[in-house]
Amino acid sequence: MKRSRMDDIRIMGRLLPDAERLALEMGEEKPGAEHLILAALELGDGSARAAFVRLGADPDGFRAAIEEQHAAALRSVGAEPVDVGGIPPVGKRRGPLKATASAQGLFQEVVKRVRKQKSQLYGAWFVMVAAESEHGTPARVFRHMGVDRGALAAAALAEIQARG
Amino acid sequence: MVDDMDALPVPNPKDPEAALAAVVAFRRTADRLEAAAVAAAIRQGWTWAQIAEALGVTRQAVHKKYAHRIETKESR
Repeated sequence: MKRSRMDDIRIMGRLLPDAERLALEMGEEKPGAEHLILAALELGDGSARAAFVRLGADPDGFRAAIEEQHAAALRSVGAEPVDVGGIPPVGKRRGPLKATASAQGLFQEVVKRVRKQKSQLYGAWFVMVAAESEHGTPARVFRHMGVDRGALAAAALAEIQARG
Repeated sequence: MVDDMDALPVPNPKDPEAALAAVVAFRRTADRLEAAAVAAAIRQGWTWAQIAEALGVTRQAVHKKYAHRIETKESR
């Protein structure tokens, strides 16, 4: 069933707060593009998850791959990652939303593409646009998962097209 | 001492891919360490002013960032 424009607006209003929650849960102050992808993987349309599945990759492995990639980055320069522990709970959100430039950029680009293509705001859009970036945490996480960015972008586009 | 310094692993800025990824990971580790340490400090009876002083930030800044996430004696 085709969604209404109001559904898209509701999803848009939910994604960044969800990304912020996920970032805080993971002990980070502000969400990055990778947290926006995690939020997109939670969307009910299932398209972001399906893009990974098309390539034989586990969408549930994305969160762990973020941790592993950061640990690998530390090890690559001779630093041993530490398990800090004791991160306080997320708490009730308040005040203006905070997001890193990478999350803002991904969000804005997705909204622009969705409007231009007269499409709907499927989670796969976030995967597709993120997979187009050569650098940054999402690119490193995809590489860590053994997922080819070009193939992932194509898989995400196929999922978008399959939904009209 | 010089030998120790030589042995200290540091990111090589001439390998930006690895060095920049490490910078992001270090920042993330610092975020996590700060959140956990502030929570521990409050549990141990530190005031927001003491935590702010230790972090080199204003009391308002640290309070705004963490007060809604950490239960204090006053908020119980």
